[in-house]
Amino acid sequence: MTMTSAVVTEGLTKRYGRRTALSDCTLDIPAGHVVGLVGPNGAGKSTLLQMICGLLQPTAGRLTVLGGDPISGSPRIGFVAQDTPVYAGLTVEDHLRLGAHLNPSWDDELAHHRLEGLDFDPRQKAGKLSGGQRAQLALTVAVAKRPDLLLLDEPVAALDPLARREFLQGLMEYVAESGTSVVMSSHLVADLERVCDYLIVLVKSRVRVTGEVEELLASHHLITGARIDPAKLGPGRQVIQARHTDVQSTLVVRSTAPIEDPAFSVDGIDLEDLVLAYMTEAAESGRDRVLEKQR
Amino acid sequence: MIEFHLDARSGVAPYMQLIRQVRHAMRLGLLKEGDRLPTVKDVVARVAINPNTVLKAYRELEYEGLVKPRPGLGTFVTRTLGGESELAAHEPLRRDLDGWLAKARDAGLGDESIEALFADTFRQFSEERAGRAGRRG
Amino acid sequence: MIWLTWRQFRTQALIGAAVTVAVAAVFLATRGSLLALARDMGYTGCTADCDKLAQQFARQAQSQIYGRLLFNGDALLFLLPALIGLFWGAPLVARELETGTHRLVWNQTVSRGRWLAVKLGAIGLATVAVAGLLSWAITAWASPLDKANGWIVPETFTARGVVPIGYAAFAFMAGVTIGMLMRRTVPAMAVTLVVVAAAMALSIVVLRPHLVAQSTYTGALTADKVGGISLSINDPARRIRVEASAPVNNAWVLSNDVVTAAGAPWAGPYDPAKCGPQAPSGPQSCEQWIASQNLKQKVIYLGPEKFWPLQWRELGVFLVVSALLAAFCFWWIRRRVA
Repeated sequence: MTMTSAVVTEGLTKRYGRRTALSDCTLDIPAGHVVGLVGPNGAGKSTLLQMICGLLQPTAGRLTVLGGDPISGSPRIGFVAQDTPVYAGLTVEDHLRLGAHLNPSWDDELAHHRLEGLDFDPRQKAGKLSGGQRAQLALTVAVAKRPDLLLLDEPVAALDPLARREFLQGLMEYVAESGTSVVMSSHLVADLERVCDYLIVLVKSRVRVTGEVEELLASHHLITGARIDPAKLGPGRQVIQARHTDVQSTLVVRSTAPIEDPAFSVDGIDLEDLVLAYMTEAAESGRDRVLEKQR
Repeated sequence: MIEFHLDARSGVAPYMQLIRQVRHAMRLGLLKEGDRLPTVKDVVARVAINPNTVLKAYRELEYEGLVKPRPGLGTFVTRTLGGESELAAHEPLRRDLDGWLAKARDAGLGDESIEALFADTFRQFSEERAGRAGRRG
Repeated sequence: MIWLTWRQFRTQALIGAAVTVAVAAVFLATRGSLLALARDMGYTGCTADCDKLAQQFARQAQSQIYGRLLFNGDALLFLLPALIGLFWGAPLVARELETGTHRLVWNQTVSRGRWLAVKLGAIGLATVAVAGLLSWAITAWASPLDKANGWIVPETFTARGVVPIGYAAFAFMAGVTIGMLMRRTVPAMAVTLVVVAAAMALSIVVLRPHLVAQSTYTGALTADKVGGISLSINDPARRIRVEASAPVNNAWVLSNDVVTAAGAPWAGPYDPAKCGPQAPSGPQSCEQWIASQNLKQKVIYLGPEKFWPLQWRELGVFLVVSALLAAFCFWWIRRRVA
């Protein structure tokens, strides 16, 4: 573990009776990044985030958060839960007072400045807010605490495109001024592509790939050519996904060295297709392939 | 003050898009020497992209000698790219281009094919120059 | 945390305070006239014939508004624990889990232990205050009536003194615990109601009689003490059941049996010539025959002087149980809940 790691896990597992929510996860999430945690519903994203902020206890494995054990109610971690829960009977202003009373590191000016910018009526009951407004309120309460690590569980999933854009704008503005580490989960890759510079793909309770977005995009290639057995591609080339017709093969390949083979047409791949490749491969193959970026 | 936008589907890297938009604005005369670029915070508050993307673009522009950061004050444009005068200074290049276009026509290429060929070659050229081969995203 | 607890509990607290103040005011306002009635009827400070005066006073008070007040006051104190368990206890944790707000509040800079401690402390205090004040007001108001009617019988005892505080505190903690385990407010309210009712019933029937030393009265069963006789002429074993009124005043009778001189329960056989439809001179012959059988009456009871010791002990039991529930809640909420 390095000093610049926000979260380190080793074999982290969470089981509920016979159901496994998270399986043997080993991660080293770097600090100072906006980390995208992507995967289909039920993959284990919420479970992982809730273990980091101390809402859930691991069944097995080790978890280190900001250099220490995870605790519930940490002063250094902000969390926005799925469906952005708020106290329906309390007003917007009450929620800020809640934050002020319960957090010694509360930045009241930041909180009010954010809400003024978003045109909130402080006396409005939180239960009457729209989904987008609730998300902004929850985000405000989380960031005004000035956390070192901000965790967001599918914060924009239920929002319309405008609300989604405004949420991400607000989030990025905060990241720009504070340099806080952010871990954001989503099952929509398009949003993550704009804002994330580090990616973790989680499918069926296992980590499939992690790494800096730039490096992932540079090292994954789409290869098309005459039909070929993936095993024959040669060393240093890892086949992530393979599709064949009777005459043609299309492969998604991971290789740090560039592929200059006249037999193939080699193309880059965008983030969405990269994630999809890992997701379909995980769904189709019986084997669980765990890939990690070595930092 | 200029504003940025992101074309998520263009296939061009976000930081690259920002660089091009700055250069384009300079060429159109919207940015002159001494003008300040928007702060990273203002850019991401508008465009909702990772701040590191903006930092990278600004660093690249600084490397190209187009802008210079002044600590505490912002990032400022260091050159003016004129419109007419810039292009006029490259008359030999324009003549070379004319010749190439004539050859392309003779080879039977239509307008779209010429544009496609140019765009593709230009892109590969830029990327090779930036040290990343074969990347599209 | 105190601010948050107040803000969330504000409406409930004001309702509780309003009800308490209103009820206490009603009873305190009529206390004077009730005392006047007791005085006017000669019951207060009576020197002779006090039992008869007591009965007359009680009957008169019952026919006036005091009867209704007494009934409503008792009913309120009987229901109070359940109300507190349902509306103050069950939703405390269940509502947070149900709406997901626990993911908001437990990610502020507050440990779950402190969150629970402040909530339990503040609302527990409110519970004790409401139950204590209401019980005090009604107990003080009813004192002349209780002296006349006795106050150790379950229908009265449960709504007097400090025992309502114990029930209320228990009901509150039971509600919190059940809500925390069930994670849903409305089902938790239903289960809490059942649990509180069962606990109160069990306490009265099983626990209370054994909390203080019981008193026993044994006396000869004379004809004038015999009350009801019941028998069946078709019964081959010729069993007979004799009821005799217990000669203990204003007490809680736990058992009242007819026993032989040796102390064993007696149930016949009866002499059909003396008892039953074939008896010559009606029920009196049966009574005299019974009296001639050398039987004794054995009454096990708790007298009115046992009121306060019994009150404190039952309160103690319920406070201990409440404390255990609280300890369990602290343990559970840190380990198991998300």
